[in-house]
Amino acid sequence: MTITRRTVVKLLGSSAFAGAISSTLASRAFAAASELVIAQSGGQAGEALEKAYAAPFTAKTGIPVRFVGLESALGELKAMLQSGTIDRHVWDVELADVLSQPDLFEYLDWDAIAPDPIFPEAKQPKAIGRHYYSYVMSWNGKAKPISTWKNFFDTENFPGRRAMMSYDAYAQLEVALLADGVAADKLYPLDVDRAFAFLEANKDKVQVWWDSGSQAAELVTSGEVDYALIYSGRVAYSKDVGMTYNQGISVLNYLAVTKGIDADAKAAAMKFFHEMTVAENELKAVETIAYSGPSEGLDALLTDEQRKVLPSSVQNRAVQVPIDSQWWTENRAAIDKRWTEFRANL
Amino acid sequence: MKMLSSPAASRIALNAPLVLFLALTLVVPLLGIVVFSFGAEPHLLSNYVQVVSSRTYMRVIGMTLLLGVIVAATTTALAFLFSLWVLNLPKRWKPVVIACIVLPFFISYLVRALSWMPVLGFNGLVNRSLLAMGVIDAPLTLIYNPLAVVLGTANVLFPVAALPLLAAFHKVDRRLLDAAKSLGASRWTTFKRIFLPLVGRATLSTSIMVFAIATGFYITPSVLGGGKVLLAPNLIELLIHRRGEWGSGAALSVILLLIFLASIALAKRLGTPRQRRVSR
Repeated sequence: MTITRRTVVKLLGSSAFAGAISSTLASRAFAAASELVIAQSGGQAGEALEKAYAAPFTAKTGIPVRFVGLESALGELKAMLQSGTIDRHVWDVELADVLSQPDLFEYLDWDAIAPDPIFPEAKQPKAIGRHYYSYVMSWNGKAKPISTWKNFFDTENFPGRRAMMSYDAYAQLEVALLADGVAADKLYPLDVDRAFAFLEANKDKVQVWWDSGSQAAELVTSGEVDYALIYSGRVAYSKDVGMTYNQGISVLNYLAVTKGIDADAKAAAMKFFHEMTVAENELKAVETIAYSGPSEGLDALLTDEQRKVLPSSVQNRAVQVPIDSQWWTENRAAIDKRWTEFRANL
Repeated sequence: MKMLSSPAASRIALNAPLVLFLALTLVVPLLGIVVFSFGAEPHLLSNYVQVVSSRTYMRVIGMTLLLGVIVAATTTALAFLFSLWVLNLPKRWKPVVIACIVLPFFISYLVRALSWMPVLGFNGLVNRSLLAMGVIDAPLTLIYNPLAVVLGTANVLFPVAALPLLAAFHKVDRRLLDAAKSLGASRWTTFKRIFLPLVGRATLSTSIMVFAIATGFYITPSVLGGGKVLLAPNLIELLIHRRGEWGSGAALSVILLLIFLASIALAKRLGTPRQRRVSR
């Protein structure tokens, strides 16, 4: 690998190298790739990536991992590809992103990843499952526990204030249909009209439509609302808030690779992905955040308490409803428009 | 430093950093938004057609402008009364009062919006007190409505309105007021015919500024509206940030900008005093 002016500038700019420029330069001659850059939305999930997967990956390969922030994967990836300079290799995405814009992403080399046993949905041609999260019902410690979405909208038997998500119909249409009595295995294709009709009829039971997961957690923890639809990870480890995975809408979050990256960077990414399939590494991740990975071996390593609160334990997988990303990819544009109308009339 | 010896050259040199800064941080991104707003298919203006033909979008724009006007009017009116009060305060108290209204500037908008929750929320101070006193049986919805958005926005913008008004009021030559009184004018006449015309333009420009900031407010409506008050900035955020719909988001931004520039132009015209003829 030749050292161009640009790599030198990049090297000097990175403070991680500042102490050991000479040794790094020497090892660079052998290293497959100089670094792996992962764009992800940050927070505790980013911390978990770093501790659980980046640490063992770097220990084995000597390739450092750099995390950069991310607001919207598709927008930023498109802009990056247009600019012609690839400075980020791996992206934190939803499967629907990859399915709707496959041209932005590289095929994964599953032979090179050589994964430990993982759930089949985590193995996509252009994406690898990272962790599960779930749209679940939660309640303040003082409120009566609920176990179904029907209960969630039943203000007579379960009095109290409710909160739902303001910015998306995603998963909330499923919630509406389950509450309206549709069986979980008959959800897809979603009856969109029925879902919106149900939400329209029940919207006055919802006092607050939250704009972020942290706001949702604050609302239900402080008792500002009694029941909230919420991202599971926001409340799973909470002592003050009740939650159940029953009828939770389960989503697997993925990582994918920039289209057209050089072979070295791609090879490094595949090695990184291997670390994500190792049960012991996934166990490390759930120390930081309540979003668990797709390893089939993880459940055996968990404590009973962890099995209760993590989304991909055997017992919780059994009671959740997996979201259909393919259906959402095909229908999202029309539903987004309808959701804007619904929201403007709250 | 010979170059700076000529006043024109020094003016250019001293302003260059600011001009450059504004060009890079304001003009270039703004042009970017304009470029984004033009669609490719089926035609150049398709994003605009989409916005203008949508009743939902137009309602959101209307609501934004309405709340903006209400906030501008109430905030400016309150700041006007406040400034009159400060004008007549003893000198040593003025700095204290001004410090008190400047202080909240150092607290973030988000915190100031959120801090209404423990006061006016369902579980807040007011509701809990009323419940404890037996005045009500169930908590009142004091926030999570348009009124709360107006209240929260007006609260945040109050110092923004008060400071320029205070400056304008203190610039008024008090001898003019004394002269009016000495000529037999009542306090009301003095206020109406001398003071008001002298501060009228400052008041109008202050209210336009408040309107401008209020219609761009994003966090306050989001928190205090409980997600039920969808205003244009929140819609733009929804379109661009959450959905990556740059085209319609940018078109909506440009339309708002145009409405806004038009309203400033109108307000300026209304605020310009008619030229009095020198001789009758």
